[in-house]
Amino acid sequence: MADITISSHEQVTLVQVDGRIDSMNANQLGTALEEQIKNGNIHLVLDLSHVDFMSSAGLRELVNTLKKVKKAAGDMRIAQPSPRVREVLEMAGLDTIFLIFDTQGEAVASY
Amino acid sequence: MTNTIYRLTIPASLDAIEEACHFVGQAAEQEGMGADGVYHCALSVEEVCTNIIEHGYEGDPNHDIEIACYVIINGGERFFSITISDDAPAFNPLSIPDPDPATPLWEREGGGWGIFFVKKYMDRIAYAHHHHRNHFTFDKALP
Repeated sequence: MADITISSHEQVTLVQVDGRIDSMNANQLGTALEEQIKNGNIHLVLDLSHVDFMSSAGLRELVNTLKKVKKAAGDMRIAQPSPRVREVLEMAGLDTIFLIFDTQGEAVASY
Repeated sequence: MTNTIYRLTIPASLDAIEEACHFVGQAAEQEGMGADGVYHCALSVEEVCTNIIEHGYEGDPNHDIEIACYVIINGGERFFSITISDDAPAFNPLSIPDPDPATPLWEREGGGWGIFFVKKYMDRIAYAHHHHRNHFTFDKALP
């Protein structure tokens, strides 16, 4: 299971995930991110430093969310992905689609 | 040559997959697999079981998934071998074309990445259909 923590940093919404993102709970993350977009929070930073397992179901939610937020003229940027997460992002070519930052601070400051 | 066989049967339910991942990960570790290899085996189990439940069984929970792991020695190399079987209609997951990592965002529809990851993470993959069951076998070299 994964814990999702959401906080605001001026115009940026920081979403921190802790745990495992798999087929069982990926839609939980997708729903949480979609709620932010619906509420007008379109400058998202997703901190994946504490995600130790992410399957293709998680990647699907990230891609779907990125499409939704970009349609709303926003963006979702990824902060400090764990090595496991970075590996699957790179294999799926998503490291060229998402803006990825080494630190949470850099990702937040990028807006 | 084979030795211990690790067997687990799980119901066709997404919430049972994590147990299967832990089971296979522990078996791999017990047979000497390193941390990266253990993770790759567990992620592969997650992807294959998810495909079976969502596509093979189409969400019907009245089925199960059988998992068997064992070490095989081939040409002097040791492999940790995982076989996952189901009684969904015959389907060879290796028949799906690989998705293209260069696909632009707006053309991404989301499918096919799970088996793509299994192909990337594992060293040998095979599919067979016999006794009315799909058998998907994937091997990872042991250090």
